[in-house]
Amino acid sequence: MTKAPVADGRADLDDLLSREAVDRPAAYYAKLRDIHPVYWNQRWNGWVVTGYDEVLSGFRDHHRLSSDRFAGPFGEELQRAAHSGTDQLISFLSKFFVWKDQPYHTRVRALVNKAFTPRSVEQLRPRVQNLVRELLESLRSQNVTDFLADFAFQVPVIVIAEYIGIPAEARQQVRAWSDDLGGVIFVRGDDAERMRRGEAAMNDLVEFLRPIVRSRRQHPQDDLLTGMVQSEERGDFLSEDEVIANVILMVFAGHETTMNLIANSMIAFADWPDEWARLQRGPELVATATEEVLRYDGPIRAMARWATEPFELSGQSVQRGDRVLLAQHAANRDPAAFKDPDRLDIARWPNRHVAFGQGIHTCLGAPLARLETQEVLQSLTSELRGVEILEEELHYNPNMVSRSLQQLHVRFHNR
Amino acid sequence: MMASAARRISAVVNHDLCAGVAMCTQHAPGLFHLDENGQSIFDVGGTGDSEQILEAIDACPMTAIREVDDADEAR
Repeated sequence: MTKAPVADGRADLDDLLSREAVDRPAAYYAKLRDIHPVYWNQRWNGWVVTGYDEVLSGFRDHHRLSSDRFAGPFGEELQRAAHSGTDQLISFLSKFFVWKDQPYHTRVRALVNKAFTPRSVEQLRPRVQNLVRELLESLRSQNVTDFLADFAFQVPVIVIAEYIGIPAEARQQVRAWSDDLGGVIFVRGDDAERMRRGEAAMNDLVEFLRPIVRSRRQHPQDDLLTGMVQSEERGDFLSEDEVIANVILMVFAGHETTMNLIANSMIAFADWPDEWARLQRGPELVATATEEVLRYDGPIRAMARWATEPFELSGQSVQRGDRVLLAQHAANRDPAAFKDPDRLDIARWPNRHVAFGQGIHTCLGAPLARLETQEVLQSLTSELRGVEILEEELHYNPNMVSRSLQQLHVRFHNR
Repeated sequence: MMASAARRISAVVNHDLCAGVAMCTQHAPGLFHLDENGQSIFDVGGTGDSEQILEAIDACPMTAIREVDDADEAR
């Protein structure tokens, strides 16, 4: 048992929001993995899992590792932070299928799953190609480009808004709301100010979406929203609030993560310029290149679970109610699973990274994220000589879940 | 050889691709199950029809399931 107090010098390793943990996760997680791939973090009061095999089996064990944020230790945390002013926030967050176990999770997922299979999203490729081309045209003459706001955010938010069937014109508002929701979703829900802003954003989103959802009942269209509303009318499962909640989830997850993936891929290529040149020479490598940037610096650091019963994980005794952090970034750099894990190799194959998780909660939007990133990389490498990073130092948002740059200014170098 | 209309098609799961998302077990619960490693297994002798198998193939987010004519191939 390693739950005993940690020795001197290891105290810093328990700070999941230290400068090193936030800005250089690969180096940080490697230190934890060297101590134990299933490491007891005294300060977080839970297990941090950094070994590939352990992370994989953790993701696949949805019976013993719950995703339910409204029960167990995370539920208690939320209960403490919740007050009468956060009713709407809690009510809608509790309908996000990603934060539920079976059967609710799987009922909602099965309902929207078809829209996100590789076959279904493939029909979006021409639209994504055009969108990327238009955006790049509008930016390429700029001396300095705010890459996050003006490019990496725009592509996925426009695509997901059009696909679900909500007006893309609202995207700047969506970004502000998403930032405020992210403060609750990605950071621990125990800060009164973050909770207050999350509540305000949730109120605005619900108010914005409710008339749109209702109008689909009168005027069905060929979009995902209509499909969700019609399932509600068939009387199976989704109430109007459940439809709205899961639309919010898909809008949020459908742009936030892909935005960060696209931005992180620019940093990866800046660190490995030969790989950029290799992709320019061999555009047919774009699919494996996309998998490799997902592995090398994916947009999700880790996902949290909690144990519903005691079990052993790599010799560690996980107790009922323990928090368990499955660190995808760590698994994707585990030398036991990947040769030269710290090297970017755009032809790497097979590439069984866990950037999208595994098991019943495997990222719903993975095929769409792949398609968007492929088209972005294809377009940037064929149209541009290079993308110069103008940040002197890179800083990432301090949270345990998302790997997101605070800002990214670049200069596009035309051919 | 032409497959007879009454004969059920079979399926194989590619375990290099399967992520255990379990959409197949939703669409064809009598024909797919997850093993102890969270991998989908097609049950050759299970209950269900060809339409359910095609639904499961179409619903798989990893495109890990392939249709085969012959049940022997699915073993």
